[in-house]
Amino acid sequence: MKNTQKPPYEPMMKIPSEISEIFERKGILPSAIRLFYKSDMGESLEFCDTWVVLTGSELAVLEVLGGIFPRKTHNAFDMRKTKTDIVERSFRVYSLEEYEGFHAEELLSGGRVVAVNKDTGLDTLVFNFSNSAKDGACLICRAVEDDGVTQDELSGEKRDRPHGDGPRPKGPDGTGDGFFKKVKSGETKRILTKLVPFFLKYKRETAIVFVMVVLSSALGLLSPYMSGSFFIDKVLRDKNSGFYAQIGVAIAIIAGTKLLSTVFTMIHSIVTAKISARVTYDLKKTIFEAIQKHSLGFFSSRQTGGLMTQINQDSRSLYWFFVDGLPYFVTNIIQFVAIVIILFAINWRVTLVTMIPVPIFVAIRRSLYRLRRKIHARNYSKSRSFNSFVSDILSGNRVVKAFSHEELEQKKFDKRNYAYADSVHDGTVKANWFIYPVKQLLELGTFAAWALGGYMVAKSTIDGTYLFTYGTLVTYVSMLSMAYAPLDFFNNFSNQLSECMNAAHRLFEIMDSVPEVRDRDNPTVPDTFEGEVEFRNVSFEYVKNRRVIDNVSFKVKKGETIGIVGHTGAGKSTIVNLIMRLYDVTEGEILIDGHNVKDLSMSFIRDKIAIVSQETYMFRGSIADNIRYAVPTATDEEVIAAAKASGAHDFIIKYPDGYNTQIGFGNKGLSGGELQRVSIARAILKNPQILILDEATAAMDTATEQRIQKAITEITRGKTTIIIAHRLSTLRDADRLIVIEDGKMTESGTHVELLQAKGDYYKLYKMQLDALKLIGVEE
Amino acid sequence: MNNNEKSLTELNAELKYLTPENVQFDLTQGGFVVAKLQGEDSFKRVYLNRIFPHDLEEEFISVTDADSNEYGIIRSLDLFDERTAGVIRHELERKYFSAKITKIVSLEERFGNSVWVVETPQGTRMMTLKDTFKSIIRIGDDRAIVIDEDANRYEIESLSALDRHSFRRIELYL
Repeated sequence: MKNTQKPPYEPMMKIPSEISEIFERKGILPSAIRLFYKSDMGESLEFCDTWVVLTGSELAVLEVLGGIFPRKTHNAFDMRKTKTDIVERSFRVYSLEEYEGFHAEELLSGGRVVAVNKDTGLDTLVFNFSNSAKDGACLICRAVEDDGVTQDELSGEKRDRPHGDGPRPKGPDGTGDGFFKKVKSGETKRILTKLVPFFLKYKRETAIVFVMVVLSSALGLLSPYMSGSFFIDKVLRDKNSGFYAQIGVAIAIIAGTKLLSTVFTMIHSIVTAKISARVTYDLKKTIFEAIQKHSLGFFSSRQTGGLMTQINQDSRSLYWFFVDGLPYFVTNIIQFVAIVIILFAINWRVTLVTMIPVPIFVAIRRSLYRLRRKIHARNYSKSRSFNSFVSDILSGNRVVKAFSHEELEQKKFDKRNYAYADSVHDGTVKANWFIYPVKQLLELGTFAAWALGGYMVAKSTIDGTYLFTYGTLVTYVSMLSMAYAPLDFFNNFSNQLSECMNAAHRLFEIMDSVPEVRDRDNPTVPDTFEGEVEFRNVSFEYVKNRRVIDNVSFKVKKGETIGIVGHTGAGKSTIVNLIMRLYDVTEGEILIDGHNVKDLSMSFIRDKIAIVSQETYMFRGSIADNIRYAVPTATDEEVIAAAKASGAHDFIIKYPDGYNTQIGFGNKGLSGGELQRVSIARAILKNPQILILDEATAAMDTATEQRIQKAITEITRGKTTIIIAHRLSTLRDADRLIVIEDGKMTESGTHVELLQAKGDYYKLYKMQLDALKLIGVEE
Repeated sequence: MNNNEKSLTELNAELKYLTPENVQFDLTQGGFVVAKLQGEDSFKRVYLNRIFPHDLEEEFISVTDADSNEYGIIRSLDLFDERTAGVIRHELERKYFSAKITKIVSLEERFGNSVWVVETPQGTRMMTLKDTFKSIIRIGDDRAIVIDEDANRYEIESLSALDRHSFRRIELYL
């Protein structure tokens, strides 16, 4: 494959001529088509091309058979397609005068577009789509009423995929079929090139390792000669050699080379040990930095466990490449080639025979490797299931005990434990069945050398012709085993190399991808900060076309306390995430002191805002350390003052270790309310201009809540405060309230105004009041 | 024990079951299920959900309005006449449609992603799985659901019934 090859899919900006011809026959001229879109499912749920076109007055749906299919080969990366003739299957037209309210209904695996018949008021199925074609389906529905939708939007992201094609991973830029650009054959080369800078960082050390490896293997090559040809032939036999009977000198030479070789190996080991720690450190740092710079969306779409493995395992794989992989690979190649040449030079006839097992060995080894990989994968999957079970039960131990299910869990444990042991046992037994016989195969070569060589030595002794001397034979045989040694290395090398390439690829993917939320060039850093927040027609979607916040506008003046009320899942916390710029708005704008948050430096915003949320996370360390996380330079007095203000002080001093009590890592020590108070202390210490309390006091009893609120009121005097709560009593001090339902702002005003309006707030208020009455509490 | 039994009966009473006596189902021209509940005078569109989609396809069907407010639960489709049961079954099959993988033509992994070409009764399909291990969900010992990057679901009804080559391809990820 050449690098100049075009990407497999071009954006589809035109309807294929075969399709537009069919539409034309149906009376829809190409000039009348405003927008078009291709769905991937037919009326009766089979995968087929369904073309949808929108004109000024109607929406037409054409299902066709045939088209472009993925080829049925055993190579999923075979990008060639089979094209078959297109045959019309069904055609339907929905007049926009007759139908309205086009919308997509989501089902489990895809969905359907439904329209309402104006006469009968009944829903009608327009067409089906799979999840891969969902975005377009939603867009074309919107396009019926919204002239703003363009063909670019419809064709832009999704490429013209042959039907039957599912999704592809996105490229580093977040769009398109990046995956396929990656799997091109040039990819490995590209990754290797990118790894070079890492490599160069340790060029001195790597060079030393290289030289030492080369030297010690060169000496290694010498040793069979020394103990064979040299010692036996020259010292013991050849009276004319000059070394004859000089046993002391000979032993000294042999011992000298051995000693030298040991010194080289020693230097190599020391240098390797020295750089290995540094390379691993460096790689982990690089990976961690790459991960850290990403916005929250990146983390919520990945599991923390996966990222941790990535930091650990990937750095190990990459390290292998630098320190063990490349130097040995090069020297092994040199060594193998050199030995084979020497062997041929010593005796080409014998060498021709002894090399016969090599290709056979390599072939068998390859298939064995596949077997081993399979066994390994099976073990891995069993151990995964075992581990996740153990960690699940241990973390849920309280529940297990509460339901006294220890025995049941023990049984489940036994089952998984046994399954794992069984698969390991099975795998090891199987592997041993093969590995030893295969190793014997190479011995055949050695036997052949002994037999043929021995015959020649014996014959030459009789004839007096020196085809092969005894010493040369000894040298030959020990060299032969040295030639076989790198074979296994090469076998493992390719596997480990691919492992390393995967790791490098993952690393570069994270390093190269641009964080979704990032500072623009030269972000604004205002001199003063007032703390005014304004939402202007803000809409936001985490997932495309699923709005979580829909056209919300409000303004919080400096020093004002505003309450956000709404049911669980209404979108309250999302509003906070948007103010903090953990995500970027989809539409509209958020202004802080009149600046668009996108123009402000992120660290500036986050410096001025403190947030206490429902989730409290404590890092490992003392309580004081955790409070000080907000302002690392805070004095002890300030830490205590903050804890006092949040009501945390009282419980902290009750602990024997006081502020030095170690917490974190599962937060075993503190109760929910206590944790919450510590995190409020953290926010208070930061002394922010804008304080956001996101259900911060939800875990506390009303008395504690009131006490903390009092403290907060004191501290936040003159500062902008946003309080989110579903318990309305939490919001009694708010100057104004905003009611959010289903992402929309339905009401806003003061408590009294909202009660008079008798809207959603009134309903919520009554409901909570009734609940209180029910348990005998009157407000 | 006695207490337990009592509370269970009480819980039971909270479920509202829909039976042929208190509800009528029908199909509109547009192909959607509508229902007329006891005491109401017109049909309106209803939405159907399997409560145990993996185990019970025709029992415990929750009937709701568009906003997921539940009208009641159908204990079993058997309670209804064949036509009504057919109407409901058709809608459920549409809603829970996921193509059944009958053959894995190819499966290749590169850089942690895998690209599959599979055969289903609905046609050949190419798909990508972001994290192969996590995208295959086992149900019991023999069933599996495969979820591709766009969240399309595919089902393997019986792993042991797959042909040898297909099974070999998926085996490593189970």
